[in-house]
Amino acid sequence: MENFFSFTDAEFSAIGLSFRVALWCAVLILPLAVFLAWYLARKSFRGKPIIEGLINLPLVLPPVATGFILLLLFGAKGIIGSLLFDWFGIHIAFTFYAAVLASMVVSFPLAVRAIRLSIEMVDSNLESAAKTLGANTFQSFMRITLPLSLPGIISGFVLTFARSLGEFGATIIFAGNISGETQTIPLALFSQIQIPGQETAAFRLLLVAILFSFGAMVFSEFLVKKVHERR
Amino acid sequence: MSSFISGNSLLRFSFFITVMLCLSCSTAKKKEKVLTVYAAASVSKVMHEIATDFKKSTGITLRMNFASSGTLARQLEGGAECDYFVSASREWMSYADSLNLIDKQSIHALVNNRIVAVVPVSNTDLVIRPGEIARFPSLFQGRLSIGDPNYVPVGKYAQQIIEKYNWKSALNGKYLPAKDARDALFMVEMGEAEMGLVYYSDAFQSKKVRIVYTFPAQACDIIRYYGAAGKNKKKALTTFISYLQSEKAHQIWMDNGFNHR
Amino acid sequence: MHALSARLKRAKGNFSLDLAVDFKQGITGIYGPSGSGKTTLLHLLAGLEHPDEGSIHIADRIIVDTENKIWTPSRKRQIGYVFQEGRLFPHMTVRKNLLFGTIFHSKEKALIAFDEVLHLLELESLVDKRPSQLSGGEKQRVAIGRALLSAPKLLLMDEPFSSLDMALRRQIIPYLIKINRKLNIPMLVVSHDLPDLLSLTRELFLLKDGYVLGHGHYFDLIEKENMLDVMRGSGLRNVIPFTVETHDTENGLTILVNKDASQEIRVERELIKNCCLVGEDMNVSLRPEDIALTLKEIADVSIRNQLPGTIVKLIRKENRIYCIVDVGFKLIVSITQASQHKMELCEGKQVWCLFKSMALQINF
Repeated sequence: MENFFSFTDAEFSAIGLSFRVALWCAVLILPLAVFLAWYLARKSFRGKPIIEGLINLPLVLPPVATGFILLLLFGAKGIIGSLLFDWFGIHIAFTFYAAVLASMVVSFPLAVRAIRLSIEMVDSNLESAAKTLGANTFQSFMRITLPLSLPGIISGFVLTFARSLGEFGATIIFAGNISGETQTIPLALFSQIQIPGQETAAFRLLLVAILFSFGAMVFSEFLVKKVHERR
Repeated sequence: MSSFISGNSLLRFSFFITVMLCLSCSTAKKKEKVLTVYAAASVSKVMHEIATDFKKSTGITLRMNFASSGTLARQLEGGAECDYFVSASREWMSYADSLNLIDKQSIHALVNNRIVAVVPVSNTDLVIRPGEIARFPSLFQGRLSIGDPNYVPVGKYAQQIIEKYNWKSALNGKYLPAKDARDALFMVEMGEAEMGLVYYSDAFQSKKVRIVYTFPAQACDIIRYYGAAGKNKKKALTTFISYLQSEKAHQIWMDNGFNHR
Repeated sequence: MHALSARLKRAKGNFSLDLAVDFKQGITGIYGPSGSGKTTLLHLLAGLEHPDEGSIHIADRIIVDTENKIWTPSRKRQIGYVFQEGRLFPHMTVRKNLLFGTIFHSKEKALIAFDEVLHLLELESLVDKRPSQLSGGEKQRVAIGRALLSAPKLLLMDEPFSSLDMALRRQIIPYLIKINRKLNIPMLVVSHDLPDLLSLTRELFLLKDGYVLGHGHYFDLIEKENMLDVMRGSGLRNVIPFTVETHDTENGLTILVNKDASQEIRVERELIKNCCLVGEDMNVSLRPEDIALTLKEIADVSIRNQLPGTIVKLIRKENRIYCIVDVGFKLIVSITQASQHKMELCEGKQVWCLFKSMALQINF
C-alpha cells in the first residue's frame, strides 16, 4: 500500500485532462443549451418534435455509435472534417478538441433537459408582465426567466461536467486514447485494466473518478441551496 | 367497471413482461456442438473463414470473441471461460499459462506474420526504397498508428522496431495508440493517421491502405501466433485442433496473408 | 378626443370578440359577466394577444392596424397593466419590483417619482420585503405602483378587487381615485363586480359574449332593458353618493347625508374611528328589492326615508318588474307583477320610494 498514492505522470495528466475537458465542455455547452432550452420551452413551431428528437439522440444512442458518427462527420475524410482541413488546416479527430466535442455531444441532451424543465416552471405570466413594463424579450429573459430558473441551469452545468468526467465510448472512438492529449480518467482506467500488475494504478484512478463525480454533485446541491436561500 | 378493465390490462401486461423475461434468459449451451474461441483481433477475418469451413465439414459451431491478446488474457484472468485461445504473441500465452488458465500441453504455434508500414490508399506518392528506411520518421507528418504497446502485440512489435531503428526520440508524441490490431489498421484506413505499423495480414486484405515497406522478420521478435486449449476438455476440441493442422486450414491462413515469406 | 379607440375582432376556440370601443379621459369601467371577453380586451389593448382584425389608437398614435400591418409590441405601448393576481416578481424585493419599469425608459418620461408612489400607496414600510411576505392588499398596491412607475400613458386594471376582502377593497378604492385625480391618465378598470366598479366611476362599458352591449353613464344604462339584464347577474344595485356630515363621538355615531334627492336622506351608522373624514364622499348602495313603492306618503310608519318621484320606465323581466324612478337621480325598484297590476303603475305615475336606513349598505 505504500506506493498507492504515488501517481505517475500519466495519471496526473489523465486527471488534469479530465478536469479541463469537463470544464470546457460544460462552459461551451451552457449558452447553447440555455438558448435552446428557452426556445423549446417558450416557442412552438413546425418540426419541433424533430428538433427535440435530434437533441435527445445522443441520450439513446450508444456512446460508441455517437463517437462513430462524430468520426464520420469530423474525421480526416469526414464531410465536415475534410473541409476544415482543406480550408483551415485544422484537425479535429484525435485531438483535445475531439475529446471536448465528444463530451459536449453526449452531455447536450442532459443539459437541455434540465434547463428546459426549469424554465418551464417559470410562470410565463411574469414574462408578459415584464413586457408590459417595457422589457423586450431578451431583457425579460435575463431579468426574470434566468434568475428564476437558475437552479435548473446550475444543475444542467453540473450534470454536463459530471457526464463528461465519465464519458468513454464516444471519446475513445473519436478522440482516441492518447496520453496527455485525450486520455481522460475513464480511458486511462480502461488501459490500466488491460495491463496485468496495474491494479493499484487502476484503483487510484477509480477513486479519483468517484471523488470528482461525488464532489461535483455535492457542490451542485450546495449551489442550488444557496440560490433558494436567497429568495 | 373501469377498475375491472384496468385490472385486466394490468394482468395482461404483467403476463407479457413475464413471457418476454423468460425468452430473454440465456439458453443452456448445446454442449456438444459449440466451441468458444477467444482470438486476437488480427485473426478475426481468417477465423471467420475457418469457422465457416469447419462447420461445413463437421457441423460444429465456433463462437468467437475478438480483442487484443492482452485484453483477452485479462478477460480469462477475470473468470471468462473459453475452449480455445489464439494469441498473437508468446508473451500473452505465457501469461495465461502462468495463471493456469489454459492447458499447457496443448500450446502450439499456428502461423507467422510480418510488420509492414502502410499509408492510406489516397497517398499515391510515397515510395520507400530499401536504403531510405532509416529516414522513416521524416517521411510522414501527423500521427503514427500503432497498437498500444502495453497490451496489444502488434504495438509491442512496432515498439521493438522503433527501438531497433532508433526512431524513438523522433517519433515521441506522435503515436496514435489503438486498442487492437483492427483499430490500428482502421485509423490508417480512415485517414486519421498518415502512417501505420500493422500486420502484413491486415494490410494485405485491406483495400484502403497501401503497403510502403515490409520490415524484415529480424527487425523485431518473431511474430508467431500461438493456440492453446482451455481447461475444460471437450470432445469437439480434438476435432478442431486436428482441423487447424490440416492442409485446408493452412491454405486459408496463407490466402489471408499469414506465413508471408 | 378619445383617450383610446379600438375596433377589434378576435376568435379563440368557442369564443369570439367583436367590438368597437372609445374611451374618454378619466376612469372607465368595463363590466360584464365571466367569459364576456373583458380580459381578452385588456390583453389585446396591452399587446399580449394579437387581434385577428382591427385597430387600436391611443390619443393620436396608431398602435395596431391589421390592414396596414402595423403592430406595436407591448413594451412600446406605454400601457400600464395591473394584473388580477398582481404578478409581482418573486425573486425581487418590493423596491426592485417597483423600479423594474424605470429601467426601460428615460427619466424625462417618468410620470411620478419613486418617493411619491411610496407615499401615495403607503408602501414605505414594505420596500425591502419580498412579495411572499406581503398580504393580498399590499401586493395589489405594489402592483399598482409598479405599473405607475413604468411611465404609462394609460392604465389598465384587471379585476383589482377580486382577490381582496371587503376591508381591503374599501382601502384600495381611494388610492385609485387619488391616482386618477393626481396623474390624470385614463384608467380602464375591468370588473365583474358592479358595486365595486360603481364606487370608482359611473362611466361604463357593458360587455356580453364578446361584444359591447352598451356604454355610457350608469343612470342612462339602467333604463335600457338589455343592460339591466346583464347587470342583474352581478346583483343590481343602486349606488347613491353620500357625504359624511359629522362624527358624533358622544353617541358613537357617524352621520351621512345626501342632498341631491327630492328629500334629504340621512343615515346613521355606528362610529368607526379613522374610517373617513368629515366632508368625504362615500358611495352607498341600495338593492332594488329593498325599496317599496307607495302611491302616497305614509305618515305612521317606521320607515323614515320616503322619496317622491316619477316612474320613468317599467321593465319586465320574467315575473319581476323593474321600475326606474326619478327621485332627483334614478333609482331602480324591483316589485312583483301583481303589485304593478294592483297599483296600476305605469310610466309617468307619481310614487314614493320607501326604504329603511338599515337597507343602505355602506362599506366601511
